Amino acid sequence: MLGKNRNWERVDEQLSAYIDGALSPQERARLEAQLDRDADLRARLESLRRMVALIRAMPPAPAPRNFLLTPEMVRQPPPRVRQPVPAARRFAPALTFATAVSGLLCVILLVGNLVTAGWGGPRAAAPIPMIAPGTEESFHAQKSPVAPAEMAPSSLDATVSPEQPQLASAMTVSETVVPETQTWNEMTPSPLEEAPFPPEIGGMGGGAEPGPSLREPGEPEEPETPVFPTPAPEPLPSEQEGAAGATATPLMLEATPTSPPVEMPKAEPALPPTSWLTVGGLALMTVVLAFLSIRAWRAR
Amino acid sequence: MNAGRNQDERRLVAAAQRGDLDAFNELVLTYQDRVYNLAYRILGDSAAAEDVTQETFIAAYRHLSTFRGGSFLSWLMRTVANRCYDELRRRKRRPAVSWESFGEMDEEANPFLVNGHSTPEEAAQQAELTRFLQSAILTLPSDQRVVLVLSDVEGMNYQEIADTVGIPVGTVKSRLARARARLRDMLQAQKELLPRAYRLEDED
Repeated sequence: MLGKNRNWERVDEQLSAYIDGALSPQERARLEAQLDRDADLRARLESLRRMVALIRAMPPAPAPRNFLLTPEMVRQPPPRVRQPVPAARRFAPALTFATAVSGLLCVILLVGNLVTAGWGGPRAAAPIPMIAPGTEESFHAQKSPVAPAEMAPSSLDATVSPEQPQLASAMTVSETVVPETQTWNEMTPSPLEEAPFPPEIGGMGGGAEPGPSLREPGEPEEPETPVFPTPAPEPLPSEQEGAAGATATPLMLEATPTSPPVEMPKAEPALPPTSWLTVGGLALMTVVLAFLSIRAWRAR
Repeated sequence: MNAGRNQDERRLVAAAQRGDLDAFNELVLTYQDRVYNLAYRILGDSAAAEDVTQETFIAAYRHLSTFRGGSFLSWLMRTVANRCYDELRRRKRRPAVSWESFGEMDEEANPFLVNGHSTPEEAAQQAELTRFLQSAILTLPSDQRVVLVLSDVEGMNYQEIADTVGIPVGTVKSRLARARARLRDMLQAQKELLPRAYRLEDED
């Protein structure tokens, strides 16, 4: 009965179900008839039956301990209760993203500002001149000495040549403080060569000695020069530049009118303060967002 | 007597459903050996079996409201079988216990060496056989293993197994047949490892 091409899987399924008494009456009768005729099939059934008996005879493995529940074990909220909590967390990714965007924007603006400020160099320091004019004057001193130098060549060379550098530089200081007189002075030099300038120089650098006698006959501009006492104490920082200015005089004659330092403060402040404010605002926003993100991620 | 026991069980389940933890713990004491044994036979690892047993009782208590009567034990067995399935799925990438590791089975977890045997030799033989069989069971694919344990260890009929695992009766039948045939082939191939008294073929 057991042919060589027999479907052994099917045979074993029949034998297995036979052991469990799970065959239909017809199937059972047919199998029993085959078993009667086939010793190999009987042996196969017998080995399967013994194997199942061995498994069934395995003694149970008793629980190694008690599994009694305690109120603590049960009190833990089931997973469903935990799920709503991540609701707070749901915003965490969005908040983190917003933090990143805000931070990036802040850095970009900051770098942008620094770069433009770097190009503007002194412009970035715009507000400073108002507080300490001396610093900017010293910076512009290289150009401004031209004004006195321009006047110098004709009259001063002969009279006060050694002192000229100092005085000239001192004058530039005065010009920054009293821009109107300066421009006026600059415009006037050629017609008033002899009369106005020697007194002016004397008044600034040399103090009161030669001044009074010369001023009286001088032009109406001179009364305005008393403003000098303020810059007077500051000739020291500009001394060196004054020397440089004296040498540079011939070349920079025309540059003088175009470089009034007064224009600088007005042009500079427009851009930076607003953008610095933006950067600051963004930085603050980034910090707040980062804080919120951390809170959101930690939400339990 | 069985009817009285069923009535007792229904009363305890009803009390537990109302939140009476002590009533539920009486059910735990009643069934913990069955639950643990099933988990241990399927998983072959006492620590994992303990974890699954504890998780099963916790889950059963929490979802007691979904129990709609019938056999509480069957309901528990379904829970533990499903948890064992999950555990086996988690382990899937790890290789099954090798046939050769049979001699290294955890003897402490098989403390049934003593009872029911007249002589120490018999007890030792039974212990050896049990380790051997457990090791063989663990080499089966998990779907066949679960069906075999539910049938031949737990004594469930085909319909109960089908209900527990959630497969058709025909599938239970074929899986069980394949599992048994495989075990038989294994035991025949390794018969020299079996104690002489338990070999499948008669040897003259």
